[in-house]
Amino acid sequence: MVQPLVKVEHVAIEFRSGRFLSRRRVRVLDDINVEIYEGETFGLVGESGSGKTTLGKTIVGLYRPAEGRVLYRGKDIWSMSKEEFREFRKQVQMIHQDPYASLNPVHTIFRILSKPLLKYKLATPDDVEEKVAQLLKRVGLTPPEDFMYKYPHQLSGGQRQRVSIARAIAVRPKMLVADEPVSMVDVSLRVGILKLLARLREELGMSLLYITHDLATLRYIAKGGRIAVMYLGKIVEIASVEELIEKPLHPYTQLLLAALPEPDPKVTRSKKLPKLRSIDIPSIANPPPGCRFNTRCPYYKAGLCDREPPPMIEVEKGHWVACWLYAKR
Amino acid sequence: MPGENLILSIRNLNVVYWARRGWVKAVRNVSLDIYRGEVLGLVGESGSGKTTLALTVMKLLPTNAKILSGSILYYGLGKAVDLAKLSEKEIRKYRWKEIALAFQGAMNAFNPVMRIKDHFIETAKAHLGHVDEEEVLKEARELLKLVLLEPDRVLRSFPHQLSGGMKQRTLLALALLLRPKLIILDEPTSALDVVSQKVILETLRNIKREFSTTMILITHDLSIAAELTDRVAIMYAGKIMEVGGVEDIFYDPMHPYTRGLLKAVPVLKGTKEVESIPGSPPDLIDLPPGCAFHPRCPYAMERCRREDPPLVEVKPGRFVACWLYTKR
Repeated sequence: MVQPLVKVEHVAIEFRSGRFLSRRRVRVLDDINVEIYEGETFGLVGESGSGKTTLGKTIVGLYRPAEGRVLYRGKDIWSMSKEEFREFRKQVQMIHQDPYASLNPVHTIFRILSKPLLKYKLATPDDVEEKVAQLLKRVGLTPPEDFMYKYPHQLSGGQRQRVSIARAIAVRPKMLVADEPVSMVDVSLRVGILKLLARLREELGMSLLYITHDLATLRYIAKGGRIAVMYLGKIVEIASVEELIEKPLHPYTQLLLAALPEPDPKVTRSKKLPKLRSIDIPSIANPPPGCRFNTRCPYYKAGLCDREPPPMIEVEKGHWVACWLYAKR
Repeated sequence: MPGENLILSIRNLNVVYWARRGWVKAVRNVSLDIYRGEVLGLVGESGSGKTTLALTVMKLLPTNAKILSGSILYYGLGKAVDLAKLSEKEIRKYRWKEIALAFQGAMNAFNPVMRIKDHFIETAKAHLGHVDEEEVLKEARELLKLVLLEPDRVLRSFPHQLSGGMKQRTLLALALLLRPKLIILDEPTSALDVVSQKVILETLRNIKREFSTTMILITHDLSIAAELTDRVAIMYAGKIMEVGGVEDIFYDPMHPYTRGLLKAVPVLKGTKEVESIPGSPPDLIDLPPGCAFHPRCPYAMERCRREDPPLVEVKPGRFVACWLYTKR
C-alpha cells in the first residue's frame, strides 16, 4: 500500500465563539478522514459554511486540531520538530481566493517573488532576478520585464492570481492547496488559471487540493482525480470525479447537482429541485443531531437520521458515502 | 414610434466616473429597449458597465459620476418620462413605486435595529403616505409566502436572525410591496448557496407569472441568465455587444465576445472544450481605439482597430456590434 502524502485522521476543529460570558466552542469540522496521494488532484466541494476552507487550512498547518491528527508522509505535523515543521510548511503551499489581499500592496512583484527564493536559498542575490523571470514565464506572465517591477494593483485579477501561484511554486512544493482561486477572476480568464494549475501539477509532480463550491469547475480541473463533498463540517461522500457526477449517492450531493445552474437554457430549466424538508442550511453553531443533513433531506427517516450519525461506508470500490440509505444499522 | 409594449427605452446613454487617473467611461453609447413583462438579462464581467447602467436608471449614481448624454424613457405611466432629466425630488416618485432595485448583498440593505415587520411598514409609509398597518402586514404575509418564507416568523425577526438566503428573499418581497412595474435585480443570488440560488430564481419566475412584473437581471453568470431570462444583452467595456432572445444567444452566439464567453464556462456533462479569452479586459480610462474588444478578438480586422462598430439589427430582434456582420 502506498503511503498517502497527507492523511487526515478523525480530525475535529473547534473555534471559540461569542462574548466573554456566553463564550463557547463551535465545532466547525467533525471526524474528518481524508487521504491525499502524491501527484493526485483532489477536489473539496461544499457551500459556504461547510468547512472546506477550514479543512484546507488545517491541512497546511494553519489550524491545530482539537481532536485527531494530520499526517504528512506518515508524520503527525503537530509533533514535528521546529525544522521538520518548517520544511512541511514549505512543501505544502496554499493559494487563496483573493489574490489582492494575499499580496503585499507596497511590494513589487519582484520583491514578492524573490523573498521565498532567498529565504529558502533557492536563489542567490546574483541569480535571483533570473529565477524570478523564470517563475513569471512559468505562470504565463510574459515578457517578465513587463511585470517584475509593477505593484499588485497595476495587474488585473487574473494576473495577480498568477503571481500568487508563482509565489507558491517558487519553493517547489509537493502539494498545492488552492482555495477558490478563480472566484474573483473574470469569467473569460478563469479557464486560463485552471489550465495553468493543471499543467503545473503535472510538470512539478505536485498534488493539488482544489477547494470550490462549483462542481462544474471541479470536473474540469480534477479530471481523473477524486472529490470529497462536505456539508456542515462533515464529509458526506468521496468518489472519483466522474463517478460522483454521474452516480451521486448522498442526497446532499444529488441536491447540489440538481441545484447547480448551467449555461444552457433548455438544460438548466429542466432541472428541478427535489422536495426539501427545509430550504435553509442550519447554523454550524447548532448542528442537528444525527445526520447533519436530516433537516433538509427528502429521504429523512424519523428516529434514525435524527438520532445517529451515519457511518462512512464504501458502497463500491473507492466510492464512500455517509448515509443511512446505504448503511445497515 | 415605440411600440405599445415598451416599458423602458434607453437611448445613446453615456455615463462617466471621475477617478484620479482620469474619466472612466463606464457606459458608452448604450441603447436598449425593455418590454413589458419580460426578463431581460444584462450580462457582463466586472467593469462592463452593467451595474452603472442600473444605477443610472434609478439615478443612484455616486457623486463622482455624470450622465454625459442620452435619455432613459419610462413608459410605465402611459406617457414617456425621461428619467435622466428628472430631479432628485421627482425621481423619488418613481423609485420603489414604479421601479424597484434589489442590490447584490441584501445583507446590507436592512436596518439592523428594525424588525422586518417595520421595514415593510416604513417602506409603505415613505412612499404612500398614511397607510393602514394591518393592511400592509397582510400584504407582506402574502408576499413572504410567495418567496417561500414563514411570514410570521420572518416579520417578527431582526435582520441578523435571518440567513443570507432568507434575507435575500425577504428583500424581494419588500421590493414587491408597492407593486413596481419594473424590478432591477443586481446579482440577486451572488453570495448565496446553490440551493437558495435555485429557490430565488424559481421564485422570480413565479413573481413574473403572478404579477407580470418586468425584470432586468444583472449578472456575470451566464448560467443564471440561462435559467431565467427571455432576452439577453451582453456588455463589454461599457458597451452593448449583442442583444437577442435567450436561446439565440446561447445556441447561436454571433459576437466573438459572446462566443468566447460561452466557451469559457465549464459544464457538468458532455465533452465541451473550454477555453479562456486571451488577453485582459481593457482599461476603461484608456480604451483601445476602434472596437474595445479587438485586442482579444480572433477575427480582428484592420477596420476593427480604427472604427468602433455600431450596434445594428442584423435580424429581427437580433442586434450585434461587430464589423463581421455590418457591411456599411
